[in-house]
Amino acid sequence: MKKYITLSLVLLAINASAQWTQEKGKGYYKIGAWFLEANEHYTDTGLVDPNITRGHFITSFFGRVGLTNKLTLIGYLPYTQVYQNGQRFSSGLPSLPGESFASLGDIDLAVEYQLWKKKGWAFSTSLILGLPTGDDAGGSDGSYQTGDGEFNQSLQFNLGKSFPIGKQNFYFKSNISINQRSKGYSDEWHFGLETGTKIAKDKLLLLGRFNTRQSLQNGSLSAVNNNGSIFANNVEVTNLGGEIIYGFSKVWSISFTGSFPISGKVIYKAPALAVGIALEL
Amino acid sequence: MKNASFIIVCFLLLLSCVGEDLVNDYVDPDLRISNAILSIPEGVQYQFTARFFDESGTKVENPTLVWLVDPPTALSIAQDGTIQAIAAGEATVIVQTTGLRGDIIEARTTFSVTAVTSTDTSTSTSETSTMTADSETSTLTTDTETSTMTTETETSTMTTDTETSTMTTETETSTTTIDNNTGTGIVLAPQFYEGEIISTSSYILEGNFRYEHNGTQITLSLDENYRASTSLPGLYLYLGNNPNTVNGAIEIAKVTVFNGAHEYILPPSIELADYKYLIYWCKPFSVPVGEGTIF
Repeated sequence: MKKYITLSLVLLAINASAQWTQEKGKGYYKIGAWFLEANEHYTDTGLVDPNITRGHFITSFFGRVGLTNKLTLIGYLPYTQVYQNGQRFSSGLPSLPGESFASLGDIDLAVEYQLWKKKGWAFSTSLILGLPTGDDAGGSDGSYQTGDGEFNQSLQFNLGKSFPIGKQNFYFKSNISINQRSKGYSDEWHFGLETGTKIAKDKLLLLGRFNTRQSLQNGSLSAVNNNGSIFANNVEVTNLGGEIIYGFSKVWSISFTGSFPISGKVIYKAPALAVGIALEL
Repeated sequence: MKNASFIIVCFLLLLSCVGEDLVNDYVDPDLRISNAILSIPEGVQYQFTARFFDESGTKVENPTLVWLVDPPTALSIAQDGTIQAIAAGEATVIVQTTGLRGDIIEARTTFSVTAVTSTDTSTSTSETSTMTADSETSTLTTDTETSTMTTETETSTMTTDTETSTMTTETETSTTTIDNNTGTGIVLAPQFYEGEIISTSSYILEGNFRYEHNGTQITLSLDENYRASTSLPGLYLYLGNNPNTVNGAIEIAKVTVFNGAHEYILPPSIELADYKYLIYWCKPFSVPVGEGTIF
């Protein structure tokens, strides 16, 4: 589950500016905070069950630098805190304390290459490497994971188009990728759509997103052969979300992001909220 | 604007503080007679013991108990639970205590007082033993609240009525045993329970189990029809008296078998009446995902 969260964040960041690659020597840097707290989750049957409140809080640095006009280098560095609430009992039994665990999460490195750009259309591909730098057995019982301990590679294709409707300019993006995972985890595919427009003299960017991630169910890892580790394989989720980005200077902007799951398997059911401050040079 | 942005980010950082959940862990208080018998010969003494678990499933040490018998002509009883069998026939021992809410909590066990013939004690014991061997149709029925136990000697039928759950067991060979420690001819109640594991979540978890004390320790045997979802991360098995929490429960093992028959050998310190529930617990989500009512 943690791996899904990390990969989702980096893909979200990458997709936010994908297709149109960074110009040579130009960069986009963002410090962000991402937060999810859930007291229910999707089970393996897709139904929703309650759970003790657990949360993930990730502070991160994201950066993309144009190595050439067609090649962009991307990095994502998360610091992750996982926590569980304490429990107070109606019977008056002594409360159980909560717990939290924090460490460096799984780092992602990626390159994006612009394949084609013409008449408002842009087509690019991204290779994303997920490094197992997080802790896959954190906390007192090993379930406070800040990473899943596996190296994964995701190959993504991005297609975008800018277009006017009346006097208002819009853009539309789509992406599809295959995420190959190791250590017995099932591979995944994901698909995303995004559209947006700028208003208020181009200072405010409003955008909406649809993302889905589905397991190929081809992994060997299950509770039967996990050698004692606590993990979640075959995680699936479909999200609807949006983002507001306000540019308060020529180079600085602040963003607010919300993502809301509409279906899933073995993953928390709760909205994820994020805020970030970005610098574009 | 930059300062405001940093303030907002810092505010969001505060949201990661660990909070507290309120868990409704109420269970019906449970008073249980821990050493029921099927029969006792006239003139023999036997001491019943009872354990009381409060509304959180916590065992109450030294509860105030009131012991009663019905009918009084069959037995006499002291307030430490010791009975003296007086006259042949069916008899019921009743034990009562007061719950935290002031309500009377009660448990009952019904058994036979067997007539002692002119033969000596060893003959009487032998007759009882024969009765036990014939109990191929013995039926144990448990209902969860009032705990009534009835035994008819010839057909060896035992019925226990309690209020919150029902367990029906058909046994081909009764494990009724004679209390050989005393040699008094007392026939102890069966030292096993059978039941069904049910899912209390959306995960698949099902199967029958047998919970049996072999005289030394308890074996928990899961039947061939046992199935659990392999998607459940961090599934553990506990024994407890409150299926809503593992607070106060004892962890048996991490679940490593997800299909088919298998068994757990429990520590000798665990007695048959110590725990009422099997609790299947998902640690990462901190929730019960299934349970089995032992009795």
